Order: sequence, then C-alpha cells, then structure tokens
Amino acid sequence: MARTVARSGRLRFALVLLGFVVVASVIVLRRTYGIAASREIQAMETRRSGLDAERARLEADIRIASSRARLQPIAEQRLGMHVPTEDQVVYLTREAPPSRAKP
Amino acid sequence: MHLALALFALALLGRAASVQLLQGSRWTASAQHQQSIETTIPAPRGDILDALGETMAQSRETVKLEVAPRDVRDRRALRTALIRAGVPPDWAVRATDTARKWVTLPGRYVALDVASIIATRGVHATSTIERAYAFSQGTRRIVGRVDQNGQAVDGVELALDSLLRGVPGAVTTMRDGRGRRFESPQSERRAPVQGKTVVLTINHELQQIAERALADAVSRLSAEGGDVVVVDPMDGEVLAMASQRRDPRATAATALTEPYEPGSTLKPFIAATLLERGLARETDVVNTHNGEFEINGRVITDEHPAASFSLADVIRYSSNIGIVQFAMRLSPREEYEALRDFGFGTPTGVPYPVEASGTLREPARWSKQSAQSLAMGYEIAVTPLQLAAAYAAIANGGELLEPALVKEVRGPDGRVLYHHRRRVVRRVLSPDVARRVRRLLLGVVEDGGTAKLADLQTFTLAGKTGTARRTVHGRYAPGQHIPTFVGLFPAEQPQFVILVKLDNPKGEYYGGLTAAPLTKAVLEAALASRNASLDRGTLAATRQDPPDTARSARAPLDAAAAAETLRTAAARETARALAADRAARDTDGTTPFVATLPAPRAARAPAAPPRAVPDVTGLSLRQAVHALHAAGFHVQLERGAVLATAPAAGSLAPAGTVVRLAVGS
Repeated sequence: MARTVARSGRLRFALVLLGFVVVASVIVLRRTYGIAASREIQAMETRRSGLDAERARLEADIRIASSRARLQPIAEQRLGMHVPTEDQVVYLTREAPPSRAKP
Repeated sequence: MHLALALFALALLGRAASVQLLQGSRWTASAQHQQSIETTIPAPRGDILDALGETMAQSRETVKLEVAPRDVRDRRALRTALIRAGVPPDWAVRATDTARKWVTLPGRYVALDVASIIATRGVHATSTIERAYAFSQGTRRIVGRVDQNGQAVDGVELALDSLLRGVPGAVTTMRDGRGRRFESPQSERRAPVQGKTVVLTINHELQQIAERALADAVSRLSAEGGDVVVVDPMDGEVLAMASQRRDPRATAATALTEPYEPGSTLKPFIAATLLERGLARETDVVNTHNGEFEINGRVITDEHPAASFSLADVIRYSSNIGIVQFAMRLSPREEYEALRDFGFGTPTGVPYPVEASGTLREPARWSKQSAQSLAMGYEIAVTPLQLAAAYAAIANGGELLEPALVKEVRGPDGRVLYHHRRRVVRRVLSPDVARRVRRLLLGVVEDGGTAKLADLQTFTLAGKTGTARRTVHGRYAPGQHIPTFVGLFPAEQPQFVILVKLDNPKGEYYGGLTAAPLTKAVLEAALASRNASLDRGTLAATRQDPPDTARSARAPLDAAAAAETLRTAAARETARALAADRAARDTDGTTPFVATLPAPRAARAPAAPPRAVPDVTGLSLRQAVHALHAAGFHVQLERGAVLATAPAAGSLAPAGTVVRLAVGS
C-alpha cells in the first residue's frame, strides 16, 4: 500500500515537473521567436532606410545630371547649340479639341 | 549533517526571498540598465522644395563607421572593402592598424553601399542623418546649410529651423548574451517625426538661368561679383535670386544682405512722387544748364548734356541735374517719406537670418546736400531685393507688396499648413501714376534711352539704368562703380521685375552697357524655357513682329534646318509647313523665324501620387496594418483608446507617408 502511494506521488511529481518544463520551453521558444522576429524587423527597417537613402541619392544625381546648369554647357560646346533669341521663339496657338457630336 | 543541510537550505531560501521580495525592484532596474537601453532615433529635417516641386534640400539616413582593428579577423579584406566603398586609402590602412584600438572613419556612407562592411566583426555603424543639397552653390546661398551635427547654420535652414526640425524618436534596445543589440520586442518604438516641408517661391529653372548669365557676365567683365533678382510683381514672390562674389567668404544671398547706393535707379521714385502729388507732369521742363550745375557748393554733371529736359527726358537720359531740379519741388520731409513709403530703410521681412535693412536717414540728420544726393540715389543704401520690391509697386499698379520667399509649408502628412497669400504693405501710387511711370521707363529702353541694349525685338521692356560709385571701407573708391538695371517685363502687364547689379566691372561700367545686356540674356533664356514662371498665353498676346533684320533672309533655311532636329516625323512636317507658310507670307523676308519648340515631353508620373488613407475601423490590428501597407503607407504603432489612424481615414497622403496607427490598450 505504502509503495503504491509512493509511486503515485513520484508520478505526480514527474508530471508537475514535465508540465513545468513544457511551459518553460514554450515561454523560452516564444521569446526566442519574438527576438528573432525583432531582429528581422530591424534588419528590414535598416534595409528600407538604406534603400530610401539610395533612392534620394539617385534622384539627386538625376536632378543634377538633367539640370540646365549641366546640360547647357554640353549642348553649347559639344553640339554647337545656343539659347534662341527671343525673336526665334515661335508661339504656336493650340486649337481647342473639336467637341464630339452627340448622337 | 541533516541540520547543516537544513540550515543551508533555509539560508538559501532566505537570501532568495530577500533578493526577490525586498531588493527585487533594485535588481530589476540594474538588470534593465545592463540589458536594455533607450536610444534616440534622429528625426530627418523637412525637405526644402522649389516652386516647381523639385527638391532643393533633403535629409537622408547615412551611417558613420567606426572600427576596432584588433577585433577584425580578415584585415586585408576589410581594407579592400573600405577602399572600394570610397574610404580614403590612408584611412583604410589606419582602420586596419592593430596598433590602434578604435578608429572613426571620416565621412558618411549610404548603408546599402557598406552593408558587407557593417556585417564585418569589429566594424560598428552608427546611423546619422545627412543633409543633401541639389542644384548649385548659388541656390545654397538661399537655402543655407546645416553643420555635421544637424544644426542649421544659415539661410532658410536657419530662419525656418523650428519648422524644418523634426521630433526625434526613441527605441529601447536589449543586449543578448554576445553583447549584440536588438530592438526590444516588448517596448514600444516611438518613431521620429520628420520636419515640415518648406516650398520656396524660387523657380530653379529661372534661378539657373540667372546664375549662368550672371557668371558669364562677371567673368566677361572681370567684375568682383553681382546679383540678379527676379520678382513676380503681382504677388511679390521672389522667383530667382542669384548672387556671385569673388570673395569665397561671401556665402550668403548678398541680394538680401549687402545694401548699396542705387544711383540713378532711384530717380523714378522721385518722379513718381512728383506725379502722385501733382507737383510735376511728364512734359514739365527744367533748366539742365548744359550738363553742369553747381548747388550748395557741389558741381553736378550729366552724361547727356542739354540746356533743358522734360521730366520724361530726365528719366530717359538719366539726368542728374534734371532730377535734382525736380526734387527741389519736394520738401525734405516729403522726399524722405516718399522713399520710406517705397520700403527703403526697412527690411522686407523675407525669412532670412541676416537681411539688411539698408539706410535711409531722417531729414534731421541730413546735410545741405542730402536732398540732392538722395534724388540721384546717393546717401541711401538699399538691398537689391528692396529695390526690386519698390519697382514691383510701379509694375503692379501702385501697391507695395511684401516679398515672399516661402510659398507653402506642409506637414509630414502632406497637409498644407501655410500658403503664401499676396500681402499688400501699403498703396504708394495710384494706378494711373504707376502706368505713367511705366511709360517713362519704357522710354529708357527705346532708341536714345540709356538701356537700348536691353531692348527686345518682340516684347516691350521698361526699366531704368543706374551707375553708382562704389564705396570701399566707407569711402568712394576711384574708378570703381556699381552698374544696375531694373526691368519690368513685359512693359504692358509686367510678369517679371528683374534687377541686375554688377560689382566693379572693368572696362565698360555703365549700367546700360553692362547690366542691361545681362537682363536681356536672362529674359531671352527665360522665354526659351518651358518652366520659367511666365504666362505664355498673356505673353503671346502682347508679342509684336520683329523689325527687319539681315538674318531674315536666311529664316526659311533656319526653319528647315531646325525642323530636321525634331524627333517625330509628324513634328518635322508641322514645323516645315509652318516655316514654308511664314516664308510665303513674308515675301520681303521680315520674319526671322525659327527655332521650333521641342515636342512636349510625356508628363512624368509623380513619384508618390496622393492616395486616401484606408478606413481600418472594425479590423484587427494585423488586418489594419496589412490594409495600410497594401495602400502604400508605412505604419507606426501608438498606444491609444481606439483603433484609429493619423492622418484620418479618407485623407489624401503621398505613398510612403508614415501613418500613425493608434492601438487600443
């Protein structure tokens, strides 16, 4: 009888211990997953801000490369072009589009 | 033995209870201090845009690199990578020298360019915000700059620092067993809020035209510098403000900071005051003493000597004697008040940190010669912007407007917080007198006037030249001058007030020979430009046929040649037909046609078209975040009472805007 009680007590203790280990493992796993996700978000955030910075730099490069200050000397020196005098500029009057006849 | 174990167990239990229950908070704080730290996230400054929406100044995230050479395993590979990333070779060597404990590399790098370097053991990257400026050094004089610590130093950056500066964010980071930091998943991240976007009235196209024309003129005339200011006289917006100085220390927009004696460009204001008060008419004649006149012990001379001049001729020929004679009809108080009312002696109020007010002394401090000096534009100092603003009053029918440098201020969510509205300081002339003064100024550019070289073939231009003596250290420097020309373009319904000033040109120094042609060059380039803030519809209506010129004969050939440069066959055909038509109509060859306008470019789609913020009411947090991301927004979580967004659902915001999502606790 006493041996049965002792066995039952050990079993209960083992079950409690197992339950504790399982719960603790879940907590640790959840935390590990959270930290891993946090790292991933941080890496992606860094990449995003890096891409934003890269985009800003490329846009600035395009602006400078297509600016008048850069293109005009090239057009004048390499292509022999010049800024037209004001009497060389012709204003074309755009006609209003014809209105569609209703059926 | 059992007793000893029991006592040990009791002691252990007691210590544990003491640590957990009595000292728990202290140890928790100590652990948090060791493991987690709150880091400030720098806020990017707001963008500065020009009137066309092009970025003039922008913040971008960069990294500062620091190296602990002794922690680096493959130093040769790191050295190669650093040099490839643009680090100066001597610094790359220094960064891999084990004799040093810690090396901070100069410069800032885009994180993506140095991603592999950052991943190297021993390399530490710190995120920083760098300010990038587009366009030219001349634009920088207006926009200003910030130092390496992100503090505004001068220009608009400093004047509007409180708007441009953002609100820094904060994030709690934790340290793992290896000492690596990561963002705490439990704590909330407070995202930084970008500063407000400032849209200037400056048109970068016109600014570049002005800068280039000014640089050419300064170089050609061996001048010490110059300024070009273009103002819209109808609403006071400053469209371009180019400055150049040989002195590299002069980095400010000198059109705002350096007053000078305007010389004859001040004469129209005396004439306008006389007309306004009914003390003179355009046809009134005064004795100009054949070009030499002594008054109060001082001899005044004219460049165009004549026995007499009407008021119109006084302006046309810029007669010093004539304007002095006319100015005698004003009392010193009237003369002073007239000039003061035109805004001289007072800062214009544009947001610039060191705008000069100029000098206009009260009559009580005048000498015997001051009234005559003022009439000729001496004993008074004005900034180019003040003078342009005063001419704008003549151009717009008599209202002195407050010049504007800021067109709009927008919040980080795209909402317009401020929009410039035309602000009248005071009415200084009646519309009729303003029109009569414009007619006087038209005579200056016509045949016989002092600014014939500014005359345009197909548009009318009104204006006034001035050639003032230059002061150096408070004294007039012999042989040094400041030529100026102020133009109203076109004369009938002015769209531009353009002021051109040169500092001490060598050789020819008269305003009509130096500043006037420069004005013409700027206007010609502006007319040929697509985005120079000109209303072409109104301009086309006022355009007049050019007079006969020698080059007219080759006009059809020019037209045919120009047509061949067009890109599409249809455009070429249209241009050829137009050239043939004009050549046929103008049998005497009077039309010096043609430089055809390029075919219109396809409109570039805006980088971030505004879209509506989706309504996330009733959605789970995950669904709400997904909906916002799908709509093209960034999401920042915040604690709040209910699930809501800022900007509110339905508001229009550009793609990429950070939408703050309040999460119910």
